[in-house]
Amino acid sequence: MSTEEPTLGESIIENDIWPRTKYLIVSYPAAVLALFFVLPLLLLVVVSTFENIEGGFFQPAFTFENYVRFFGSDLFQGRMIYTLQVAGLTTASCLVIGYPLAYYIASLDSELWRRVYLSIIISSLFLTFIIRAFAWQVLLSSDSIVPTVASSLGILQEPVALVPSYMALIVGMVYVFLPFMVLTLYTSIREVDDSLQEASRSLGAMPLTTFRNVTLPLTKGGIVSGSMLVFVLSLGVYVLPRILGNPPQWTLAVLIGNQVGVEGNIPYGATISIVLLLVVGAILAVGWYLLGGERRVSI
Amino acid sequence: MSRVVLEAITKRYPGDVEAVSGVSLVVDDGEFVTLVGPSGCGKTTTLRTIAGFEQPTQGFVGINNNRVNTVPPDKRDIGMVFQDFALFPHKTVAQNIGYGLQVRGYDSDRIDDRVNEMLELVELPKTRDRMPDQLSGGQQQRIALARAVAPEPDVLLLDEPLASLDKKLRETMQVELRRIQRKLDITTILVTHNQKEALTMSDRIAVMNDGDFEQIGAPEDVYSNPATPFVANFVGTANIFSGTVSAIEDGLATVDCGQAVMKSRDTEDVALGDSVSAVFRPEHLSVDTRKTAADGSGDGSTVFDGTVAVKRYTGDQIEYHVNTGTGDSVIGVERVDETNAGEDDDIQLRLSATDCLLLAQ
Repeated sequence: MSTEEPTLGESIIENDIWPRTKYLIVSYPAAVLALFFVLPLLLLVVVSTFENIEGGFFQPAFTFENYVRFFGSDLFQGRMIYTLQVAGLTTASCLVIGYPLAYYIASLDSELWRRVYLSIIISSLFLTFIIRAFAWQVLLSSDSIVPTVASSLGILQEPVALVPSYMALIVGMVYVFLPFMVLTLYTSIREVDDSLQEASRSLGAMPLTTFRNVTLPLTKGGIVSGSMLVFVLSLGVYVLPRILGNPPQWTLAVLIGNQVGVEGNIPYGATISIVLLLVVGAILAVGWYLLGGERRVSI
Repeated sequence: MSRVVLEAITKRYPGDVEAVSGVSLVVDDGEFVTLVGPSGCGKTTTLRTIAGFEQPTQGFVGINNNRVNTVPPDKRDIGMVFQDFALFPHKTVAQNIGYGLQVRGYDSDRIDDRVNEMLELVELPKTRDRMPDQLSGGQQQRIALARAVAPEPDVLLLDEPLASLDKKLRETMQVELRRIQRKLDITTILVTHNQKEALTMSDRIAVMNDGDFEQIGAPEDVYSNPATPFVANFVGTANIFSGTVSAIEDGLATVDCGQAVMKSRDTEDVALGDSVSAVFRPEHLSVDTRKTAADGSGDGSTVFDGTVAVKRYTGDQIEYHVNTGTGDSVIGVERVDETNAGEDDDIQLRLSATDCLLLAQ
């Protein structure tokens, strides 16, 4: 009967050696996501509602006590704000230092030199945070280069150790995260067509006006994504505050580590982590909103 | 008065690459001049020198009798249309057109009026609030033009503005562009590699090759009296034979071009024994399948006997590529297919001596 003749689509599926193959292909990323990202996150949420037992143990419970404790404590009100400030200052500094750098590299005519500059910037990522943090600890210590030069220039009265301090922390953070900002901005700036800037110039706009009206708005995507990247990385950083800061300079990430490693209060550590995650999520959401609100942005 | 003056402009890039070698040109007020040439001939560099995006290594660039060699583009009072249109993707059509006025600090009412006026000029009044990517190629082109002329610049510079449009649209825009240029009476310099575009749009064309002007003149002059074999070949189609002048009698020159012997009445600038290029247009050849007497001496015409190697029908004419059996190929055209010769058929092409130009080599 002609009505039973399979359509093209059906016949392909029926002749398939293993008709369920496509489900397997789709399920692979789903499985990876579930196993390595969703499940640990759920565990973290569950653990954050558990009760702590002295000595680094915990027992199942369903309590919001940890959250109540955290939101009522100075940890949240003080340290969360402080952590956001550190991340914010790091991001702003990276942007201010990184944009002109990225702009300069992006506007080089020679592809060779662009690659050389980018390679130099990327090369600093070859070393781990820890080594670079210790490097700054050495550089800023009392008998080292930075304080010595600063005192001979009259900026410091005498060579004193600049580490550990808030300034040392910010310097270290900016140093570590600057490449991420520059690389993101570089891509974004390179995508702005030269002829757009020339069109602006031909219409009577001076270089600075051209930058403000054309280049800057067209690189907004790069600015937002670079800033989000650095901000989120800064929020989670653990090593740098430990090495370059004193306890007053410690961020939430360090305090989470202390709750788990020193205090042995795993549920409370999980609670702080969840709140930090929510804050990061909220910031990402705002970032996405900013990106979506602008036409033709590149991420 | 908006004149553009170029005097002995030379542009050398690092590595001793000479893009432009001492070109001079005066574009009068309201004139439409086209720089035409193959890619890499230096025409775009010349235009960018006028715009101020390039600075000449030597020479004088003047706009309105002022030396502008080192004046930045934003201080030159130019309007420019780019090959990719370069509309600001983050601004609406109205913001694009008003940009030049905005940076000059006009108040918003005045900008608004001018934007509307410009949209009327390019016949796209309804696109005001659209974004550039919501426009077709032809519309983007018109908006780019509107943006360039909105601040009433002294000079309009067009850098291959029609190259990215398809043929039909390109021809429409050629007419449009010319209409708007006439209406605004604005001094205009166009750069194109398309010789047809140059011929149809300009008051004068400057044919450029290898960083230098080969010929500057009105389109019909350049077409009918090419100064060099390059111009003859680049502007329109030309048959070019090289040879030596073997005789000049009663204003009729005989040129020995190897196998072919050409007759020409263009004897003014040639002397016996000169090496010349005999240049003639395909449309000047009469095409016939009948074998008439190959009488090259009596009426002073040149006759080519041969077979049709390729026959091309181009819609408005038929093009015969004729193999003359001597290694030379001659192109002749017919308006209508009177001859009705097929490929490999015998054919005869006849050229009057008055239509054969002799150019010094």
